[in-house]
Parts: sequence; C-alpha cells; structure tokens
Amino acid sequence: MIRWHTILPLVQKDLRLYFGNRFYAFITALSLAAVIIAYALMPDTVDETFRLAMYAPGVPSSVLAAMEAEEEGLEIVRAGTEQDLSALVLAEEAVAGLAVPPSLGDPAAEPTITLYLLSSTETEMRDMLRVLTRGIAITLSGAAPDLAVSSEILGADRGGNQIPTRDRMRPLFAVLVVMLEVLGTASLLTEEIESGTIRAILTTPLSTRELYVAKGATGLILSFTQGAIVMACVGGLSHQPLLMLLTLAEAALLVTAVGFLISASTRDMLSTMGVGMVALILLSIPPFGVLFPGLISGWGRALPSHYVASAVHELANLGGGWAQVRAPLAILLGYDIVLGGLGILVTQRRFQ
Amino acid sequence: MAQPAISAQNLLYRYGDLVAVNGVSFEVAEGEILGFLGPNGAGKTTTGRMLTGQSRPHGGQAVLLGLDVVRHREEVQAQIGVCFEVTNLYEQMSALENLRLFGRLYGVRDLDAEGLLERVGLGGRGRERAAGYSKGMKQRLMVARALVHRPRILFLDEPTEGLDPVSAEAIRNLILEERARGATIFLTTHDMLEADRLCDRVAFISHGEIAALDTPHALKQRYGQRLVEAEVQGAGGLLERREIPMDGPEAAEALRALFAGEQVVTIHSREASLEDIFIQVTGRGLA
Repeated sequence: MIRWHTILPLVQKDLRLYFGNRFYAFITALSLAAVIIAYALMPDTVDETFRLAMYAPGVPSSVLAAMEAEEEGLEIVRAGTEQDLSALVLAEEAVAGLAVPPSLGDPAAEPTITLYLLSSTETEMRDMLRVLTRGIAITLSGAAPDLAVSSEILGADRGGNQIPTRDRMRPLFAVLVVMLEVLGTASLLTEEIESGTIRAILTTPLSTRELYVAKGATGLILSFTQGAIVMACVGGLSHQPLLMLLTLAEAALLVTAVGFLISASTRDMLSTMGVGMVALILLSIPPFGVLFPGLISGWGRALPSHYVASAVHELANLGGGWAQVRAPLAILLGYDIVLGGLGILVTQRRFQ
Repeated sequence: MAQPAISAQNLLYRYGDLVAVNGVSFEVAEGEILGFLGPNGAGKTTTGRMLTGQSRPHGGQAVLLGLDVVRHREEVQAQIGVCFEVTNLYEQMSALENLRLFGRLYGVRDLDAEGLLERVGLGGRGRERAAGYSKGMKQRLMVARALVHRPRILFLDEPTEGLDPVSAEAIRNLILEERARGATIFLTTHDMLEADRLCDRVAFISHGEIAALDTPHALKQRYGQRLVEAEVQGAGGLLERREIPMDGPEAAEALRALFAGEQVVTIHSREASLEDIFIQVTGRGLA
C-alpha cells in the first residue's frame, strides 16, 4: 500500500530543491522560453508558389500566361536577357532559371535550353527541375503528345493546405522539452545517493517502493508539466487535448524510467550527467525521422521517443485521433513498463 | 526477563568472500546504553545497518521491540532513530526544514523543531542552511533529526568523532537525557573514555565477532590489573618509576617495602582502561 501522506513531503522537498537550484531552474526556464520563442518567430504560413525565371524571347507572353494558368502555384518571372535571368536566380527570386532559345521549335536548329541553378540546390530538386525543363521544352516546341496526366494523392492531401514549418516542429519541441528532464530525473536519485541522504530516508518508515513512487512522481510532474506548457503555447492542445496529454504523460513516464536507469547505473553526478546527455541526444533523434520521412533509417523506430514524436505529429499536425495514435501509444506504454521495471530493479540492486 | 529492546541472534553478513559479521549475538534491555566498540572494519557499522533495516542479514535474525527487522522493517523503523557517522543532511535546506521534513516522514504532527534545536545547542540558528554549519553543528543537527519522533531506540554511529569538546559534550549530555527518558541506545564508537562514561555495557567487536560483552566495571575487574604507580628518587637524583600490582596477596608488603626503602616523590593508583582491556582481549588496537 502506498501512503501518500509520507510521499508528499518528499515530492515537495524535491520540487523545492530542484527549483532552488539555480542551474536546473535556469535550464528549465531557458529551454521552455527557447522553444516558445522559436515557435513564435517561425513563419506561420507556407508559400506554395513555385517561382521560375524564364528568358524566352521567341515565346509569346500568352503561351507563358497559359502555362501559369494551367500549373497551379507556378509563377513565371520574365527576364530581359540571359544575364538578368542568372541575376534573378542568384538573388533567389526564383528557384531556377530557364533560358529558351528563339530557335525552339525549329527541328533543324537542334536548340539547347539552359537551366540555371544555384549551387546550393539539392540533387533531388535538380533532377526534378531537369524533368520539368524537358516537359516545358516539349510544351513550348509544340511536340507535346496528346496525353492527359491524372494524379492520385495517397493519404491526406495537404496540397494548398501545407503545415507551416513551425507547426511541423511541434513533435520535436515536445520530445526535446520532455526528454530534457532525463537529466533532472536522474539527478533526483543520484543526488540522494551521493549525499548519503538516501540512507537517512530509508531508515524512516518510508518503504523503498514509496521512495520510487515519490521520485517517479517528481520526475513525472517536472517533465509532464513542461511538455504540457510547451504544447499549450504552440497550439498542440487545440486538437484532441486529452490524447495529447496522455501522450505527454507516457513520454514523462518514459523519461522517469530512463532517469532511474541512468541514476542506478552510474557512479556519481558527473557520470550521471554524461550518460544522461547521451540518452538525451539519442532520444531527440526520432522526431527528425517523423518530420522528414526518409531522413533516418529504420533503427529510429527502435528508440521509444519515436512513438512520442509520431503520436504528437498525428495529433497536432495531421488531425489524427485515437485510431491513429493507439498503436504508438501502446508501444510507448510497453517501453515505459519494461524500462521502468528495469530501472527499479537496477536501483534496488544498487541500494542493497 | 522483560522483552529486550534489541535482540541480535547469530547475525551474519558477507561482502563477497569477506565475512564482515560472523554470528554476532547479543541483547540490549530497554533503557540501556550499549557501547559497540571496535576498530575500523571490525563489523560495527554493518551490524548497525542490519539492526536498522538498511541491510538484510545473510544469516541470523535481528529483533527490535519484539519485531523481526526484515519482516517488519517499516514498523521497526517508525520506532528507531538513526544518527549516521557520515554527515547526510539536505545541505541546501535550513536546519528547521531538515527536521520538519523528517518529522513529516515519521508522521509527527506536533513537532517542536525549534525546541529540539534548542536542546542540541542550535537555538536561533534554525533558519540557516545546513551547508553553512560547522562539522559539530551538523552532527548535532543529525542527532536532533534522529530524535524528531521520540524514538524508543536510538542508534548513534560515532556521534562525537572529530568534534570539538563543546559539541562532543553537548551530544553526550543529550545521550544521557535520552536514556533518562527511557530510550534504549546503541552507541557505536571508537572512544573508550566516552564508552566508559556513558555505557551501561560495552561489546568489543573484532573481525566480525564479539570478543567480550559486559559492564565496563566488570570487564575491568575481569581483565584489568590494578596498579600503584610511584615515582621515586633514584641514584644521581633522577626519577624512576615503580609499579606494584594491587591484586596479589603480596601488595601490602610490596607497598611497605617501597616506602621503607625508597624516597617516594609521587604515588597514585591506576585502573586498566577499556582500551587496555580491548587490546588484551582482541590482541589488536582500536585504530
């Protein structure tokens, strides 16, 4: 049986000491402020216009206007000379530039279309622009086959309704802020062990189990509260708030379990902080894989924070509900149970 | 016989292959002060840890106030107070906060923390952080912490070691006050003079075993040798020492011969100290 009246004083003491420690208080306030300020400073709209510069003296304006009208989001910026064209690209007023010779359409002339790209243009974008250039060349030369192209959008079609970058970052914000408390939670136990106060506590009627509950509750309160504050500030609670809070609670449990493991398996505060930083970096990687699919290979899914990030992404960015998040939340709960049990086991061995 | 406050029966504890405590048995009556004496590594602290529920014995049984410590750890711990050898206070908290925290952990509702600090000589310093206290003040605060719930048994591990005479005396007085209140005290110490002065009985522990256990007086009677020490004027004016054992039948004759044949400058009797007896019984010193 857990006696809350004996646990409460320990939780209050830990929270007081935590915020009484200038370093922890500073880091906590700084991380919260940094995330919220970063969110506020990022653009809240997505520019879906594809701006292409063209120097095409032989192509009538009406043809270019027709191209713009046909391709949604395409905006053609006309250049008077090829030098103007390259200047537009260099000034980043267009994604790329096309120089179309007046001889286009003359089969005897073997004309060449020049594609101007910035050196920083990514390889995938270069390939895509080359394909686009061929298409434009065929259109302008009048050699287009009489072929209709239809497209099937798989999954939620975000065309015209792209998620702003700052909102796409919400899973990253959630994971970073909550996981930062790995260090705080680990230090809760390490400090007690290092200062010997754990012995004084364990000679009171407080049981070892109640000590874990007290430390776990403090870790949960710290990480969950910070996650909830950040999510509230970045609009992450506007859709399915209860599911989002459940996700944050499971993430906080994970942080507590990992903190226990680190604390029980390290010798002193320095090694706790060292191992804690490694854990923090590892746990912070999966959100990038969720935000940018393909960026991280399959191993990212082996890290439990992947399931925090994917649940937050589903809820906050894709408008998902229970059906979409129940699988990641179940897997996350499994991680919580396994890592939590392991943490308690290792801690018990350490105390004995 | 009334139920003992502490009963240790064949306690055994190993650190790997090393047997730290080897079949230790003893009893302490309610209201008694037992001194547990021995050098570093003798098994004193390990025995204390088993008695206070911090370590589970690898053999034997510890029973406090009629309760098995392993099976009823929390009930036992509610009735004991422990003062550790090494300072383990919440240094960033004030003395009052330290006492109030432990008062709440013990479920004490009417804790007079300021009065307790007054008793250990820290009156008026309660709002200061423990980090700013001297070693003696911290030790007194630790003793106060062990007393917040008026324990029936008090375990004190080297409570005066390294303290200034004033702090050490304050703690010794407190121990006697607690005994007067009816508390049983298990005092682990190196300090033989302290043990002699405070303890009703002392146990000598060496290599994890109890080598002797009795009242200081009885131990001195059994193992000690009473002497008369005299300084006499020797040849050339130099002082020479003479020792005359007082326990033999020839003591009176030897004393007469001393006064008759020599010029006695000083003379006094000397009892064996607990330290002498410890060395005699265990064959090793206390360092």
